Amino acid sequence: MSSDETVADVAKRSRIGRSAHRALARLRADARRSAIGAALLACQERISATTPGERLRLIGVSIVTAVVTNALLLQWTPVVARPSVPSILSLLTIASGVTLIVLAEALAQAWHGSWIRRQLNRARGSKAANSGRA
Amino acid sequence: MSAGRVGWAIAAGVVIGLVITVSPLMIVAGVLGALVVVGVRRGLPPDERRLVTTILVAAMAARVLVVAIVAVWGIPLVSAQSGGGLVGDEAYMFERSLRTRDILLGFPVVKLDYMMAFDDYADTKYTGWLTWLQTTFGPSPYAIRLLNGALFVAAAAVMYRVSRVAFGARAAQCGLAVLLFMPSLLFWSVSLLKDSVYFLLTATIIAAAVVFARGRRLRQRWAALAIFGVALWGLADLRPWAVTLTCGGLALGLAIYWLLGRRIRMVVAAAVLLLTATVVASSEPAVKVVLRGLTWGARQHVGHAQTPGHSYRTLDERFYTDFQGVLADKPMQPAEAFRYVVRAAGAFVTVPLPWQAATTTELLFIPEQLLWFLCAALALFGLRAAYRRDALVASLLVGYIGIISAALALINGNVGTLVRLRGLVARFVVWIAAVGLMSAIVKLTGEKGAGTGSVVDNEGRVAGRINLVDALTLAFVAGLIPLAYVSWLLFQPARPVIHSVERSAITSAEERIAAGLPIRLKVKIRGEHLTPMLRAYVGNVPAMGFTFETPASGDVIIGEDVPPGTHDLILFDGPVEVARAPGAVSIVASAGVPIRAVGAFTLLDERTANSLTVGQTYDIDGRRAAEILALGSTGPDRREIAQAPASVQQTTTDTWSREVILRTHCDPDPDPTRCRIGGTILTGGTPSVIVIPGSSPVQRMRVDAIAPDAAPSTAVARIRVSGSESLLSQIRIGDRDTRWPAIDNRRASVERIERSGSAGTIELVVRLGLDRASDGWRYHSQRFAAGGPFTLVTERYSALGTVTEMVIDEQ
Repeated sequence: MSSDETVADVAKRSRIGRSAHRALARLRADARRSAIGAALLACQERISATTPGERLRLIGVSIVTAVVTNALLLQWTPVVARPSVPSILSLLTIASGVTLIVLAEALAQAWHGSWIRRQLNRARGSKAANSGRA
Repeated sequence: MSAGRVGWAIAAGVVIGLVITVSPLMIVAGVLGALVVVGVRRGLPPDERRLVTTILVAAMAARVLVVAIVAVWGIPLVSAQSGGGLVGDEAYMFERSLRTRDILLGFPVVKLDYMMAFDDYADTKYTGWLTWLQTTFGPSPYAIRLLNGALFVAAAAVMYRVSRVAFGARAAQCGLAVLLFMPSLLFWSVSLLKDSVYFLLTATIIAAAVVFARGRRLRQRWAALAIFGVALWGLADLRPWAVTLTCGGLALGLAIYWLLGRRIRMVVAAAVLLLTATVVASSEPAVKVVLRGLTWGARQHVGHAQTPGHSYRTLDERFYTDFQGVLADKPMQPAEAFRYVVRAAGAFVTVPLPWQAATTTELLFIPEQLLWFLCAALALFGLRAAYRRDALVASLLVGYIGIISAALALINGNVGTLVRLRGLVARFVVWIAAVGLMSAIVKLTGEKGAGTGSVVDNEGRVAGRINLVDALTLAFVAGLIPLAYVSWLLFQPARPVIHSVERSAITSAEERIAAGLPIRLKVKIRGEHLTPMLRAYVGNVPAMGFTFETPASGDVIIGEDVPPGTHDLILFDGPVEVARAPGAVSIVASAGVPIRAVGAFTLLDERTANSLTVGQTYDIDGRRAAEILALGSTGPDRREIAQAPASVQQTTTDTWSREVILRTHCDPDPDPTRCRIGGTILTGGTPSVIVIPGSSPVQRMRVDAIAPDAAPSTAVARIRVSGSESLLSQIRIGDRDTRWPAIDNRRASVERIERSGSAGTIELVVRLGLDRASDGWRYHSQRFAAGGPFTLVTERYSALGTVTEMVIDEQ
């Protein structure tokens, strides 16, 4: 038995460790039974039920709405407290949102063959291999 | 795509837009925190992923809570820009970045803004970073705290990944938990100061060094080297000697790693060390070099020990009375230096001992001090195990800790400073201490016991009525109501109110702010809800500065650029007027001391010079500011060009001058002994050029002397002059003192010359104008009395004599 396993074993057998473990398990189970937990799960399921293209489109809608809301609310913000982010950034963000809405399906399809996705997958793979050492 | 889903997406967008408006930087801090969690979780087994996520999220939640408490605490002092409740360096850094922002964005600013923006003190990259954040995201006193908190957690996460690979998952988790929840580190991590950035940079440097040493691919090593360089560049000016100490620590760590790698190297190194120590101890020059270094450290220590607050001592007592004097008397001896080093090392670990706590803060700190003792002991215990698990990482940590500790131990002498700076070391000690703890646990038996009872039933209901999660959520929402209320208060800052404005004495503090420019007036404002970021205007002229004292009082420094008259005193918060005291500041043009300035108009054109008339007056707002009492003839201007300590004169052909005696006033001045006119201080001995008050277009006068504003008393005096016959023969009846203009009726003239009995001595009878003074009579600024000296200067000679008799014509 490695020292890590020994420590883990000791922690699990301790009163605090067992209590914490039991509390966490109960919290997890109760969360599923609670009204809010159920609503969140339902929301998660609803999101899972959408296609990747639909998901991208919804993200685009949220982005555009957020930028417009921000621009409107800034009109009521005192001049002295306003951020000085260049307005080109807002335009770029809106453009990104609109791109997501318009090209959602095409982007979702293109993601499978993208270089970025391959790099991320490769990095994930090497991390997983390294974690085996611990 | 259903309408319901789009509705939810729009609702989510509105909420995000609202949060971005309230605090855009908070979103950045939140995203950074999320990225840290995602980054740390990658590649971890599910159990560990859950545990580490819990620790990180709890650490961030704790920081959010601390920031929320600070925000509520600061509500009484909050303004549109200032976070309120700031003291010391935090207040300075925040204020400085905001003032720089105001300059950059073209908001109304005053001189003090520029002074602080370009102040040498704390002129680091962190100040620039803080200014950039405030400019880009708007005033963000709390979001910057959250961002710093996220940066600290990110730094801890970097060290966790390094430690996990080196010492194992459990030790790393333990180190992570201790580091993130150690109280003083928790509070410092959400300050507005550089602590979090510094920790992130040092953690990155150590991680990059490990990756560089271990990297399997060349590309990895180059990337690590680049990151190392960038982090070192960022670290360079954050603290004195930061790069030297960090690189020195890593070099020492690598040396330890290499030396302990093989037994033979260890033996050779020990022998070399012993030999070096023996050679140094027996060589007088080498001992002197070591003692010089330690004396420098001791000087810093004494400086710290003599600052206000709770100090501690590591030197022999004789050094604390007069350090320089004691050193000059008898330099530090090797035995004293040895005792100093030993005591400094001991104090670094043990100060403050629980029974030494002198203040409430130190009493509150005792539990953490006990935790520090435990960490230090466990780190010593875990050194061997850590080295066995990963020699390179353990060596690098020991090297870094060793160098930083040595520097801090030798120069510190203040308990508060030591506690704060020891945090620089504690954040790396915990990883070795965690290995020590793991080793200790392995040697002990785990405790067995029964589970605890619970008020929650098997269905997850509290007291059989309400689901636990629902109850907690309701409690959370109920907790949000007061939070929402204080947030509302936060955005409804109380408007400053001015109760009274009164004149106040000018001190050296105001003269420092004025930086050499003349101060016309200082007034004290008493009122309510005053804040440090307010700006004062007198009429439409910005004051030199508004210095905040308390929410109920502050000072306004008013410069010469405010014209005479009655003005409103207005306070601005940024560009918004928040308070006004109508007619609160009165500046009277003739409030100063009346004088007669003797000299000449200068830099005139010929027509203007000839058009001047006796009795001509100069007015400001209908009040007499100056009047010509006497005029001489017009002539080419003589430009006096100073070349310290003397001056040269050049006659010009393009400008004209005209001798004048002018009645005017010295401006009110905090120093009643000097005469200042329109910003120029008239100094005795050298002529000064002033702008004639009220002249339009501007006319200038070279002032050679000033005299009281009254006609002088005529006097006849007898002066005994001794000297060579050739000098005495130069003196003739009718000679006049040429230091003053011909129109000056004070200047002395020789009326009679009498030969006395003795050779080389004559008696001069001179007529001159004298002014009455409290100590007798004065000839211009010189005291004039029988028995005193008198000098007569003409173009041919300068004769020094003694006044033997004087008769004043009181008529």
